Amino acid sequence: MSSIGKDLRKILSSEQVLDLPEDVSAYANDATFYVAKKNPDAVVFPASTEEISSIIKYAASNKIPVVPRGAGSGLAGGCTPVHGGIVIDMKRINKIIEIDQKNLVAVVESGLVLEKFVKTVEGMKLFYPPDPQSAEVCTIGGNIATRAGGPRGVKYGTTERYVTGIEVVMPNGDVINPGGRFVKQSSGYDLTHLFTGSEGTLGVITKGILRLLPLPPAKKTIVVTCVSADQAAEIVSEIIARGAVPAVLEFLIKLAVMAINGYLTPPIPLTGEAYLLMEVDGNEAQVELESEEIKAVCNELGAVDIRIVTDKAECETYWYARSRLYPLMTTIFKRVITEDITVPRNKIPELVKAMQAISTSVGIGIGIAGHAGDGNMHPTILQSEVSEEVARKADKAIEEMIKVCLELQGTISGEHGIGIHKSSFLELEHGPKQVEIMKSIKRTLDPLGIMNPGKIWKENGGKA
Amino acid sequence: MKLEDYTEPIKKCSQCNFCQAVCPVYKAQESENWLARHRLNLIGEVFFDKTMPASDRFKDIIGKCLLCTSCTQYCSSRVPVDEIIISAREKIIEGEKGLSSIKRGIMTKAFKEKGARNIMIKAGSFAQKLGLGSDSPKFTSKPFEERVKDIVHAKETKKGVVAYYYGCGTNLMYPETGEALVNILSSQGYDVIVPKDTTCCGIPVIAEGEIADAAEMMRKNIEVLSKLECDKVLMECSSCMMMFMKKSPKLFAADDPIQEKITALNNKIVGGIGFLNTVFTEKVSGKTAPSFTYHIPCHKDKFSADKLDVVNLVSKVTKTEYKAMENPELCCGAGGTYYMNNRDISKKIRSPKIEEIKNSKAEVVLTECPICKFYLKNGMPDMDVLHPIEFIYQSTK
Ligand SMILES: Cc1cc2nc3c(=O)[nH]c(=O)nc-3n(C[C@H](O)[C@H](O)[C@H](O)COP(=O)(O)OP(=O)(O)OC[C@H]3O[C@@H](n4cnc5c(N)ncnc54)[C@H](O)[C@@H]3O)c2cc1C
Ligand code: SF4
Ligand code: SF4
Repeated sequence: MSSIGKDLRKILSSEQVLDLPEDVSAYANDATFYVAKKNPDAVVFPASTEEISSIIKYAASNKIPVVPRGAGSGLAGGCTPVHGGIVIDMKRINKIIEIDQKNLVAVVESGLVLEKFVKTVEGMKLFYPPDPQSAEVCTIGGNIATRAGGPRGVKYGTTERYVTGIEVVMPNGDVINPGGRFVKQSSGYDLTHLFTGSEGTLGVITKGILRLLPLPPAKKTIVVTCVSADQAAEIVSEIIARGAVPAVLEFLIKLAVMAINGYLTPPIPLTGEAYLLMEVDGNEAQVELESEEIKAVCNELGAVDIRIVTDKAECETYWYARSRLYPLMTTIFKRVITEDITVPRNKIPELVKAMQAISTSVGIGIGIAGHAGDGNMHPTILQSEVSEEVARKADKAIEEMIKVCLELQGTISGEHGIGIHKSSFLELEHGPKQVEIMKSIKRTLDPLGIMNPGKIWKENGGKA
Repeated sequence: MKLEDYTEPIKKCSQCNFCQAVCPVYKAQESENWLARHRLNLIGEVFFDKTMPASDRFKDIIGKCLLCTSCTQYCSSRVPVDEIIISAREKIIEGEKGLSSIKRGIMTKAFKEKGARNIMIKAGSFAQKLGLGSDSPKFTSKPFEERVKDIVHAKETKKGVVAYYYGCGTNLMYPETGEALVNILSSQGYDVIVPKDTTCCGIPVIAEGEIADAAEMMRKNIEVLSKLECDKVLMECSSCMMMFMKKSPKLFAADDPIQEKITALNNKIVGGIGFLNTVFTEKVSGKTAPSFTYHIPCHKDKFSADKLDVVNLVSKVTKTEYKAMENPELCCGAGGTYYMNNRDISKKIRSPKIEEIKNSKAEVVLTECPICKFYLKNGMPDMDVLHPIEFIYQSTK
């Protein structure tokens, strides 16, 4: 038994603490095992905000790093305990405390799994739009901490738009409750949204107050087959330019469609090089109008095929299949790294061309399958073998991608966060002044530097 | 099914952690050290990278997998997690001697040799003799194989000939299931061959990592069933069916001549429910029956489009009402003999299932797996739990 484990068992019941190496190694990484793996000294399973506060006070008085963890499905190495310490598994704090239909908000505990929340509110004809493709496992806390998004970003935006208040355990153990149930607030600095997206580096989020919408009564799925990636990108730009706002506008290369076809009957015919998968939602009339408009754009720009699906169950199979894409790619390639650079939407055609050029010049496969509707293209580095040589090429491709994305006035992360994966690029996007402001906020709130150290920016200018 | 065969497949795990959505042991224990992904990572470290010893804790984590295959079926990276765990168990027992292996030896022998098995059962429950606990299934005094002739002829104009492979659960615990199937088939115009020289499908021994023994049993079954002159080979137990269809090719070397027989046989194998769905193509005027809910056994393709074929069949042949549970594919927690050694975990897994059954307000629970049937009944003694074929037999006879 480690000494940290022993101490923690005085604060919690022994059933709430793990410290055997065979157990804690389950918490060494998130979905980006290739970025870093490191065992924590102990993992704890608190059941309340008070218990978290006690754990953090203990950690602060002993300067032990603390890493909050939801489902560990992150794609940035955000919950990897790079300096060991204590991982706080949040998943046992998972209640829906209240669904306030009058104010259209819900109060939930942060370890709640997104899908469970979504199903519950939809059962009440309410709608919580953020839809990261990991919904069946990822937690509301993880979503808030990364500002997670998903295909619906194009129309509905991402998690931060739905967070109106939170409860946070601060790095000294204090508990604060910024924000509230109101839909607007103009008093003081916006602390709610300072913690939203903070990737566990400023405190542990224990509750969220989330905004809800009425559930749109109608929807349709539209599948468009395009001659080329360039054509698909043009269609996306044109749809946006004409003011049609699909709820989802996904871009898939042929390879991606081949991968998801296993989940579809009938499969999408492989007659084009690129595909668009869309959803329009709203009331019946609106859905009808928008799908006709989209169809017209696709026809005008010469799409090969347009399939409109109205059956609800059939529509769902497309979205389920789409959500499996990343793990499916690993059946074809030895290693897959999903990037989430995001550009202004009119720059999508340029971005697509640039990705193709990088793929050729670096000599590594790059697949594109992204939330094109919101400019978040998820270029994916496809590695047919795992070797130092290929890893070097992958790093090179990521570096080039980031350069291009910033030249196109984009952001290096649209939804996954920085974690350790992209910490060496933060300054490229924000510049030294902004990064220094971020660091000074961190120093003020977490003077001992115990909260999730080694994330977002490089430590000491060196390796995270 | 040697661990070395999985050198590449184990690397296919994308670490997405999506198995959290389905792994029953993880869900009951609420910590990721009990999750499918972690089991794979540990096996990688212990047996492939050799960076960790095969410690007791390691063995415990590998041992506490139900082999329910939920992860394997759900995993979009298509990692055959359960097979990797089985082959790791084989590696573990290779290095083990002592009581546990003696106990296992008796078990294997009991399943392998039908004669011995039946003697033991007649003398009383062998599971109890092995100290496996008092909540083990009660065995019938007259197994199915003693109740039925080698061939049961069609009672109507003959439509075809089928063979019926009955599993141990049906033979020793629930012979009524086998009788119901044979009776329905013969009254629908089928000659039913019931080969008595088959043996257990091997699932109880493979679960212990005794892969060679499972292969030996399967070889015997394949030889026997391949010789039969019949149109189809029927099975009503989802686990037996999985062993034949999915695992049997992996039990033997790729160049073993048995592979050809497996391919031919697997083309003939069909589930009892699937077959009856082709026999009863239209709604028939069955008797009124109690309302039912349906528990999908884990070893059935529980995420496939066809997962509710039972509901389809039952609704065609009886006048009843289907009262769906919220998650019919949730595991019941039994896992063969797992629940005997892991009572607390199994009960924790079973408890939400029982809640869902109660909430469904159905009068009867249907499920194809004899162990699910036993363990659900054990958890809710006042509830009728039946094989769907028994249920429809009662309303068609
Ligand atoms: C196949 C696949 C598809 C994905 N698709 C998408 C997608 O479409 N869109 C998208 O945005 N993401 C996607 N992701 C990434 C990931 O699922 C999201 O980032 C998700 O929000 C992470 O939630 P989690 O609970 O797993 O958090 P974790 O991975 O456990 O943690 C993520 C970060 O949040 C911090 N954190 C977690 N909980 C708390 C808390 N309570 N308080 C403070 N900090 C906390 C952690 O320290 C870490 O920095 C995908 C991942 C996979 C594997
Ligand atoms: S086993 Fe499959 S579902 Fe589980 S983490 Fe690995 S790839 Fe994901
Ligand atoms: S087989 Fe079942 S219990 Fe075992 S790891 Fe997979 S899901 Fe979990």
